[in-house]
Amino acid sequence: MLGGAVAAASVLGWRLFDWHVQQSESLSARGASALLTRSEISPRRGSIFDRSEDVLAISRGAVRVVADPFAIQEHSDPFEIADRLSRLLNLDAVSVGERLGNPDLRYVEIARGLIGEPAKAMEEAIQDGQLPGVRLDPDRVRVYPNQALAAHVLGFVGEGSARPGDVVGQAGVEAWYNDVLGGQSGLVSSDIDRLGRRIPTGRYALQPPRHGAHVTLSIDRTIQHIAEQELEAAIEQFGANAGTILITDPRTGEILGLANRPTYDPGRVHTYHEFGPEFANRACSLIYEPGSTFKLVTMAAGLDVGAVRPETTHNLPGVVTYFGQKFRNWDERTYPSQSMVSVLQHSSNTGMIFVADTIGANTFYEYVTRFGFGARTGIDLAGEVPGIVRRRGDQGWFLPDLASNSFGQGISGTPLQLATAVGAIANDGLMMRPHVARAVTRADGRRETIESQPIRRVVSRETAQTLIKMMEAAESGVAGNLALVPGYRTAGKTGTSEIASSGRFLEDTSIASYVGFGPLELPRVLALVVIERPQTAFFGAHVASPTFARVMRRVFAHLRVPPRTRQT
Amino acid sequence: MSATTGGWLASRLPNWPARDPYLLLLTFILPLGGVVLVASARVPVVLGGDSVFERVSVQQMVLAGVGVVLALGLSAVNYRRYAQIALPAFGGAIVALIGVLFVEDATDLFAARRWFRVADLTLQPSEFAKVALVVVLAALVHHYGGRIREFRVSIVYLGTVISLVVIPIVLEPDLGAAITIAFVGFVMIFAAGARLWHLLVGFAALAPVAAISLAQNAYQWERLLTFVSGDPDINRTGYQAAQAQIAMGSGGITGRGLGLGTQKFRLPIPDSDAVFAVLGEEFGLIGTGLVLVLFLALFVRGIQIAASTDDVFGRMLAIGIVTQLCFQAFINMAVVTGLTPVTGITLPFISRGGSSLLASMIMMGILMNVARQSDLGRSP
Repeated sequence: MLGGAVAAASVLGWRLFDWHVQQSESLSARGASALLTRSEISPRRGSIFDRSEDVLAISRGAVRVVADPFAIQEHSDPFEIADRLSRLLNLDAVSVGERLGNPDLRYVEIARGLIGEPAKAMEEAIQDGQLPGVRLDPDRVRVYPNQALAAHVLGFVGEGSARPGDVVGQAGVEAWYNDVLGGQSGLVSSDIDRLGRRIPTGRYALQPPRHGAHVTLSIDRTIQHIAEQELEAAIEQFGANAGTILITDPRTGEILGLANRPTYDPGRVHTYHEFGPEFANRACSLIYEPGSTFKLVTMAAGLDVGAVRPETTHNLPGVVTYFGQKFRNWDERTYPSQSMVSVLQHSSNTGMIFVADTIGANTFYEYVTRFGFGARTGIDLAGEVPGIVRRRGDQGWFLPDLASNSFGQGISGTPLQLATAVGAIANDGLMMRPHVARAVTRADGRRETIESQPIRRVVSRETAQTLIKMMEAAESGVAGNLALVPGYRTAGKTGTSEIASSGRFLEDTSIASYVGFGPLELPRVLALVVIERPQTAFFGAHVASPTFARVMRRVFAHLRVPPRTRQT
Repeated sequence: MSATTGGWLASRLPNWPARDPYLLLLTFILPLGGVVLVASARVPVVLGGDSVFERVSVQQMVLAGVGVVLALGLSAVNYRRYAQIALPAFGGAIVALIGVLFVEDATDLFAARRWFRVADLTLQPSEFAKVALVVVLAALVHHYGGRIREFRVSIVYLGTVISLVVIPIVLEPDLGAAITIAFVGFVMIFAAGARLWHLLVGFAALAPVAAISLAQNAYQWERLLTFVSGDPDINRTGYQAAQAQIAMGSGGITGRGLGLGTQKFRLPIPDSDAVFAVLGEEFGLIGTGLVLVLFLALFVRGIQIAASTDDVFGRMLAIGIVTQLCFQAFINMAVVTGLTPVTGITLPFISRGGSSLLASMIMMGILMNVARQSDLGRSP
């Protein structure tokens, strides 16, 4: 018996020696690698604020509903669980049941980004034991408290491709400032037990995430709201199908408001089936022919090179033939011996042809380029396009094109380009780079201001001031001008562009616009109203002018811009 | 030390020099080691949301204390008295073993019926049945004397007695414990002088019981197949063996130190069946080697005591007790080191579990009394 005991003890002792000593190194290495897991810690995405630090976009803690089909199979009926889940989360019970019915899976994501009531209901159901094998993992969700307000400025976020659960800005500020808002992931490596819990006596290393910075915009929530509301009203009134209102501060290039229709709700992007026209930021991602509003550029060029002066007179024929092509005034009327102010007032195409022809194609296109057409403004929004300008010598440019370009046809740009160009006139000839962000606040509280930058001087101060006076005189000379803002001096220009489609212009439809700024004592607000395809009216003066006036009146009131006194 | 010089306290303490010093040392050192190891091994269980940390660790401490007092107390009780109560005690143990089969314990992993549960205390009748069987077999061997060589006595009578304990335990089901107990019983009969071929027939008679148990309980088959195939299927039955091996290797020679092990967070039931692996990780070869040596010493000392006891009942008690304790310890260590298939056998004195600890300490108490009355105890 003793022999047997000693033999048994010897076998055991040998095994202990083998494992503790001979295999020690390889075994502890195997253990060390099996225990250690690394996982990334997602950084918190920064918020987006308006210029008064009101929240426009914020990331909030949420829950993700995750199921373990294997565990569900062990404890209950997958289809019963699917039924309960689909009722709680408003999902299709059959498709949920199909996914839960596969016991080979250990991880199935049922829903993500739950907050508020549905999250609470889920938590209660799990605690009541109604949903064995279902758990809630922490998640984050991007919340846009003002729904569609400023949708095209803010953009939206989607899932990135780098890692599952990654949030990446897909449009607007969210995309342009993605790296700023996004921060950097942290890393935690620790020894874990069978259930994935950290072993307190094990290794542990934490590299905390760098949370994203907050971006403060130049957008003024009230002005943005005015833009949205007035655009909506105009579209409804004229039966239009789309439009843009852009409100800027020409002194700095700051965007105060930017509204487009159609629009979308950035917090509910996942409910859209496709990226339709509502996702296009018409203000800087789509181009149109600016039409008569472009005459300001032609006139500025003529004045700046000294080819014309306000009092320069010229006969304005109803129709001219320029290099074999006929061009007409909109009313086809002939005005003999008219000043340049009258050219603007009557919005005469033949008058603009005279100016462009006088300065010549080279000078004309030099100014078109200086005013920024054909190039991106460099605004800090994703998706800006440069527009299409064919200059003399370019492929597809013909001699008569100088004539049509002089009054804004055959040339395409974005509303933002026009607003930036006209903003240069308002700002004494100095063109500012448009931007929507004013400051970045780092996670540690450090604040970096984003300074306004000039793009270039486009015309002399004198030219700008002369042109402003001409615009004011022309506008006040129009009988019953709907663009005038009671109590304030403003300057502006209407535009009515025809819509080219399949090589010809569509009849009875237009893009009606108005661009203007004020108060003229010190222009600090510029507004561009673009209404596409109005049904019940055609001309910018009828469609866009009243909206411009209402926008300016409300913005002036909001900014407490004093009305002019009677004496002046 | 005597009552005249020791005063009040010493007069009430057992007569220390009369105890076998080796057994006395083991009686203190093994449960004490158990308390320390269980406290460390239970950390994952406590962190897992079980809020009864204090009570269960204190419970092990209190039980160890009670066990030591019990062993010392029983060492003063003349073991010959057990011959008279052997049959009623055995009868009571059988009733308890059958009774426990009617208790459903929903919390058990394998739906086994092994425990009586009173509030949070559990009582495992099979642990006490082991003691009763050793005592009753010793008494019967004493009673039959030389007739042990008859097939009718060794296999029919004594074999039936063993079966009375083994079969209910198989039904619990706890095949590992049943095999251990059967083995101990047959070792006793063999030591008493039974013929070897009688024993082989007896063991063969129990083989169908084991086969039926394997057929009825899929997990037992899986454990057996895992062992035979040597496939360390990490996620299922091979998981424990693989994790225990990593624990041992990580411990090396000197161990990571008390409380610093990490494998206990991955081992199933680290404070009970796998406590030897926790020992291996935290105290290394020095720890596991020491425990192995201590159990070997217990066995050697027990056989020495048996050899120096003229009384058949006392000799059989000594053999039965050390075989029971040491064989169980061997099986537990063999399971942890992957030498035998996984069974639910605990490490005596050390694994958490009150019934096991108290039953072991009762046996130590009886053994100490046998030693005291042997030539070893009487010689100066």
